[in-house]
Amino acid sequence: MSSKSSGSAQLRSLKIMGEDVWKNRTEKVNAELFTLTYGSIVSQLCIDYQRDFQKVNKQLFSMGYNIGVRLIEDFLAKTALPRCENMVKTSEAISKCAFKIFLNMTPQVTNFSPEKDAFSLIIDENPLSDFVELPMDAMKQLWYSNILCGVLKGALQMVQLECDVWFISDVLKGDAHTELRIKLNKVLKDEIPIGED
Amino acid sequence: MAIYSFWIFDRHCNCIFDREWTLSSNSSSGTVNSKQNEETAKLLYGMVFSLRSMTQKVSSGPLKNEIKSIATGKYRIHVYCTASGLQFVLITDFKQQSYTEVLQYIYSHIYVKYVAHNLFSAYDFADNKNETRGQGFRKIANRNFVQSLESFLSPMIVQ
Amino acid sequence: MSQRIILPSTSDDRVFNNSDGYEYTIGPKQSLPNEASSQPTPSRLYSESLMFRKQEVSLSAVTFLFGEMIAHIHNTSKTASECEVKLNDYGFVIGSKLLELLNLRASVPSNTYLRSSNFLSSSTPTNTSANAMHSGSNTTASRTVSGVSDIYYNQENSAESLTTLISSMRSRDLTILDILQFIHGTVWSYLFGHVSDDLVKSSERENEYMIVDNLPLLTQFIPNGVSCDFFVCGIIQGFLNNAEFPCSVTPHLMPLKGFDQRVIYLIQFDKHVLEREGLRSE
Repeated sequence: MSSKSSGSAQLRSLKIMGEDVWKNRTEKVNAELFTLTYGSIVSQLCIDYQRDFQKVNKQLFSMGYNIGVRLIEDFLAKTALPRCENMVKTSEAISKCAFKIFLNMTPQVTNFSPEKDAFSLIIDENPLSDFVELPMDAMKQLWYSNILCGVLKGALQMVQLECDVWFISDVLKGDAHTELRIKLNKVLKDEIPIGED
Repeated sequence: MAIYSFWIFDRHCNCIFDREWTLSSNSSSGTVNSKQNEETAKLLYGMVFSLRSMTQKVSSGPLKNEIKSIATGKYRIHVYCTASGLQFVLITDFKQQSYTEVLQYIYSHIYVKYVAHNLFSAYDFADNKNETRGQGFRKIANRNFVQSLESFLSPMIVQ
Repeated sequence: MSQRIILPSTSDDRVFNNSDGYEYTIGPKQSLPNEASSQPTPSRLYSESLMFRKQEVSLSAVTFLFGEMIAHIHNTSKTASECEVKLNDYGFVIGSKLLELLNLRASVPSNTYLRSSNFLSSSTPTNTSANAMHSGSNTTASRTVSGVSDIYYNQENSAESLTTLISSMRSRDLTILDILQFIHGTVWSYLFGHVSDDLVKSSERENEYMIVDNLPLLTQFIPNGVSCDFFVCGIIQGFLNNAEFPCSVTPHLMPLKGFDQRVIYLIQFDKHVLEREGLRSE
């Protein structure tokens, strides 16, 4: 069996797995509650930091990180996926399984770098930013859904992939689409107990 | 007696939980997170670790090979590893061939529920670099976790 | 005379205060002089439909977000009561918005095919009027609101305006019982997928009412104590305050057989609300 056909079969099965877990093994909640809660958080942060949007971006990222390091366990418990061999598999697992299971959406994977260590996710319908409109000053600086970057960074860190995650464009800022980029910096080595090395 | 003991190791090679049953007749016998088991924990982890790394070096092909159980003359050790570095280990007798589903259940319905989802519980039991690589000592002490684990595993102690 | 004028139903206090540069009637506009000549950005808000699209996300996503919100509040507060007040404020904002939104959606006449899907998932039995959602009908109490049924929902309606379906707005709830029924039925279904488990009037004090939830959705993974339930209290309070039923809401843990995490939201209305009720009933 050629590696190409087994590769695409695996990708299809990721999609099926994501949909199956979403349909049958996930308790679901009204997305508007999620949207409203997140909106409340972001607006309160803007007030707390007196509209210093760089600080808000940072805080959203760190909140996302704290979520990501725990969310990964929930994800692995639901899917029992092993570690992915390369970033292509990782990108598919993220877009077809993870986003599907948690947010019921499948962002598109595009713009792979030549070394296949970085890729973009194009997000069509973002439950975080439904019904949101940013005021002029926020439009220039605030990455409204920055919490997603933190979540991805935290979750990937826990499976030994040290990545940079950042937004490239956002419809809330007036761009054509919402694009998030993930770049692998290095694969972390598993720890060896003292005495075994 | 079906189950002798249960262990959880984290990504820092530390034992973050252990439960040993001493009497088959009494499912509430035994110890939880006892200090006496620390040496045993280290040896157990060492053995699992060595066998895992050997298996992975020897196996070929894209799919990773993981050990599932190690049988000795007197007992069988079942291992369930997650991609996040957690290892759930169960030491049992020979009555049942595979405990993978049991361990998966413990992971998804007990660990994730009472540790990952719980804000008051740490997700990383090593506070600093000195507690990594097998030198850590913190354990899961969460009452709900322990209770839930007990009620799940108790019926299986005596079979 | 200490009568307070009943104001028009806008939940927006900005009619009284100076805004922060964002005029909600106009949309985003240039605040910097060098951009004064550029085209104003068209506002999305006014073109998006308010139809309830029944999108769902996983419970895990919501609880993780909620948990992190609490952790953040915890880190930025000095005392426990400060935490509770902040949490209440987060919910308050949401409650005020829900008052407008849910009343608007409830104004869609009951014979429209969309009516039943406004708040409940397609799997729960439909009711013909907004106020007829009795607690008894919710014995199923299934926490899993199952997937969207395409019978009630098709995506091309997303551009359709909700207001075209409304011929007359649902009249405002003027009595305590009416508005509490709305919260117990409609608001709770919207938020948690089921009507609340009970609505009780206190026998001890005139101004106290209680809404019971056997398993609070958001705080089910958080052990020890009800201070995290102040978020839902804030939602209830925001809803009621903006509907001109000023009150204070507090959560109390009251476990019952089989329901260890049962929470009671105690609503204490201000005195003049009861005076008003008394005047009205005469």
